[in-house]
Amino acid sequence: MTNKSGARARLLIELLGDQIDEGDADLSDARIEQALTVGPDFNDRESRLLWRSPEARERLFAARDDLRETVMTGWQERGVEFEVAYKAAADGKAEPFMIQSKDFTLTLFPEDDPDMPWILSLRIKARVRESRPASLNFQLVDGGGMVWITGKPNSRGEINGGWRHPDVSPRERLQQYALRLTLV
Amino acid sequence: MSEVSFPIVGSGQAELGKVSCVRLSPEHYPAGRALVLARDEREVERILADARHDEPSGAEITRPIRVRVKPSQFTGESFGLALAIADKRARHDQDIEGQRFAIFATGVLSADGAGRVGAVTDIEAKLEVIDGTAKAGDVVALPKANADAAGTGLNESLDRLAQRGVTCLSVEHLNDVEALWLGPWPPPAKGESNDHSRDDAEATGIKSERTPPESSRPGRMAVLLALLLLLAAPAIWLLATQSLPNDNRALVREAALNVTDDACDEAPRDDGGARERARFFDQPRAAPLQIVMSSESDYDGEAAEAAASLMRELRFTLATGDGCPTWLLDIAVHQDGTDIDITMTPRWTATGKAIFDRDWTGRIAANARDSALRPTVETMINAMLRQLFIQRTVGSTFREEQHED
Repeated sequence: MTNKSGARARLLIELLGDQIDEGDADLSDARIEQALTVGPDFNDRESRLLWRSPEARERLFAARDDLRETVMTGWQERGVEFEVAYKAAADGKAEPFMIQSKDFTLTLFPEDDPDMPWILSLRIKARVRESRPASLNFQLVDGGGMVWITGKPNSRGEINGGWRHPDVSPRERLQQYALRLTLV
Repeated sequence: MSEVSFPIVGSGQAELGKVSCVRLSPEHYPAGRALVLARDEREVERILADARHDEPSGAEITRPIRVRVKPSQFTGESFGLALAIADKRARHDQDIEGQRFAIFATGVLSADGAGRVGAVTDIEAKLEVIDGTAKAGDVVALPKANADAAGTGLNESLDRLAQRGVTCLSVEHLNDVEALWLGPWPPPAKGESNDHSRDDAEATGIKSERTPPESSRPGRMAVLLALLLLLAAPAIWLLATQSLPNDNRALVREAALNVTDDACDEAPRDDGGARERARFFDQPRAAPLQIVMSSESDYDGEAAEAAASLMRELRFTLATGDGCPTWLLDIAVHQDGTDIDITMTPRWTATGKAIFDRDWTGRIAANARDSALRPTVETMINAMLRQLFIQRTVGSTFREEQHED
């Protein structure tokens, strides 16, 4: 037995041991909703249950989808502008530019780095930030399904990150697609 | 772009990380802020605030920057000195295109905002990493605390670097290396200018560029500022007396107009947010006030301990000014016979300009307990607030809005 397979075996034994210990554990729908919204987060025992129970995971994902749907319906009702189209020249200069909706601003800064040619700073207005359940992240995605940036806002309401698609530029994507703020 | 490399050693790692800072336009990012791309955004912001707190107000301090720390995963705080240098060079226009020397730095920036540079662990291994890359003309900055306690291995590394024409600077305080951002670098050779002096540490292979405070640029600016304040004092007094009690936020408002921090989401970009800030401060809210404990204390009795505890607790917000400038105050505790003197001193900060021009003092008995200390400090804070013309009693504000660290 190699060291690697030995480590795997030990890990498997530990996992199996946990499963036996947690045989009677349960996770109610109410507890799932609580963890997704106001907290507290799942404890170790509940997390282990989620790992080993497809049924519990399915209920978790369904609850999360419902929650996301509820929040985004609320955005629509309150007139949150979570989608914005920006027509940028595809061959525009490598200089910063901003895309603004009523409720969020995305600023792009060019970088001299082929691995990360742009830095993105997404600033979200307070009324939208405050509607985010603790368990969900904001995500900016374009109409073609490409994810631009994902995360939780920092104390100043910003999510900062890099452009991770070296084959295409943000300007090229903006030629074809609108941007949509969503929750994941 | 301003770049400073730092060594990462430990857990199987032995490599050079890099901090890079770029100035951003206030059109695209709020003035006075940093867009941070790093493993721990809060830690980077904490180091920047501590590194900048002594800077005089001026264009440089309000310039927004982009900070990037690579790699994204490593542990430890020894990149603090590298971050501070990169930040200052970017904001002081020392990120010159075609710069012919590289900067390497390792050092922990103290969390008390005093600009002190603390020792790092594994200094010999860290210097080995730098040794593998540094060339003639490059600069290496390391904590004086490490240099002073140098063992044979460290001295050998320093000797090797010096022989290759690498300048090694031992740094006790950030001001020791301010020539790196105030320029010019390299500084004029001895004899051409008396602005800089080298200490005697050259014998150990370490050169230290120390700039006497009285000849430094911040020092000159402080003198200039003091003169301006002296000249403007009658006008300020007249304004203050005429403003009371109806326009009790006038002075805060004036100060806010000079602070180019972005006070709220709606701040317009065209005027740097000044108009919006004026509106913001016309509303019944004020800037958050943060109080920090000074490390300056020559008394370690129960009252001093209680003072430290109280200061930690006194991180309270006067109003809902999220994103507004933060004013820092030092609280110093000194024993004077059977009494303890408490002094509250405003500081320059990274994001705002303190508008105070005086200290506040209080005195309690050396054997006093927390119950005696708290009202004393509250009275001092009330006195400060009276200068700000904020008609709120700190007692209630303090109890309502204090929050845990």
